[in-house]
Amino acid sequence: MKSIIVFSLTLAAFFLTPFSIQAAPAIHNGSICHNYNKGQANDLDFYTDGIKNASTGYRSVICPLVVTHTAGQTYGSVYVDFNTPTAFSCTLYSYSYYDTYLGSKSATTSTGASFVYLGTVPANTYSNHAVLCTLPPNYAGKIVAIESNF
Amino acid sequence: MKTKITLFCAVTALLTGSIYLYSTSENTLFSPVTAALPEAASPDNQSRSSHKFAAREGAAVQGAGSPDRLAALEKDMADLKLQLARLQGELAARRTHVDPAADRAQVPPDPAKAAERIAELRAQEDKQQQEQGKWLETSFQQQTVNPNWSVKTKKLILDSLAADNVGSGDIVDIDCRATMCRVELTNDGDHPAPKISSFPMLVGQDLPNIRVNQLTEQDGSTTTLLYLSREDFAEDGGKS
Repeated sequence: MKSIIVFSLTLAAFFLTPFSIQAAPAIHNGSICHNYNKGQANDLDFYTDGIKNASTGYRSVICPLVVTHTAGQTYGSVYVDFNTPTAFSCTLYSYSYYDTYLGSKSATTSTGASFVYLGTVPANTYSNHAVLCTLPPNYAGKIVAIESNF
Repeated sequence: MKTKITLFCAVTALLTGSIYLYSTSENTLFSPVTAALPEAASPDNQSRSSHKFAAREGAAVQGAGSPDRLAALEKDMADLKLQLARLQGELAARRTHVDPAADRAQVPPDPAKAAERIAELRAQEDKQQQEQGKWLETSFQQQTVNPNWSVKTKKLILDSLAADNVGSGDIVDIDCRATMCRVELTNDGDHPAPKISSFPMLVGQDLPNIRVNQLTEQDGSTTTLLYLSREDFAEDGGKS
């Protein structure tokens, strides 16, 4: 009886091992973001821990994501880490490799230092993704980092 | 003989478990639990790390000893059988999907074959998108109309599309119900679908979730259907 139990455990351990692995999240420092609209590059201020809007008006920033897709996963999400006295909005975009819009997810941050979840959006083998945020003026909002899970 | 077999199996199980623990990261260590949890737990901003914590706790409880060793082993065996059945199901499902790393490694240098492989991939993904599209349409059709919300939201969509330079000639129909809207766009002659850029941001406060389906019409033109929702879509496209 005991030998049967141990043998079953061995078999189960064998099957459990190779198929539960998922890709680790990719974490991007907020300084990867840059101006979304042309001519606004000088309105942004970069730091070793993120990006802020130095101008007197709202500015949109686009943050491209480096993504390693988990085999078989057809959706993805991100966390945007922020440190902000003024809430701001971000949208996660999903595009196919042939430049077709697949979907998106929007959310608004709270205030203070925290994170907001953007998910889920469709993903496939070679889909690419970016986050578009609108930063409040006068250094009032910072994107610290973006963690992507695909 | 029996003792030797028992000993052999125990050593093999121990070795396998050790190799698994050594070679995997923190995330993957508990992935049989976390694989199911992230999308359910993480919409709550407070629970970003709690699902990892819960997984650690669950694993610790499972590993704890029990006064009745045989009963504990039998219980573990039953649990493992259930997990094995679930994982076999997942494996069968995953076999229909492409492993990106393996696929890239196997792409042959022949450009014709590479193009053929990419076309196969595209066909698979188009099929998945069509299936998702059917589920989205069904979900949309099941909704009744909230007149106040419908009128207000339709106007928001119209204004936002215009701000994103989507011409009225590209808009076939906008239909809003209780919590979902469907926007039907046709091609603009140069591209399969109008370019959508800032539109999701502009409607994001009211309609944060957008999924897209593309239909090829009999005359060769393309219709793009945007499904916008106040509520999250299911990740599996409604399969569960």
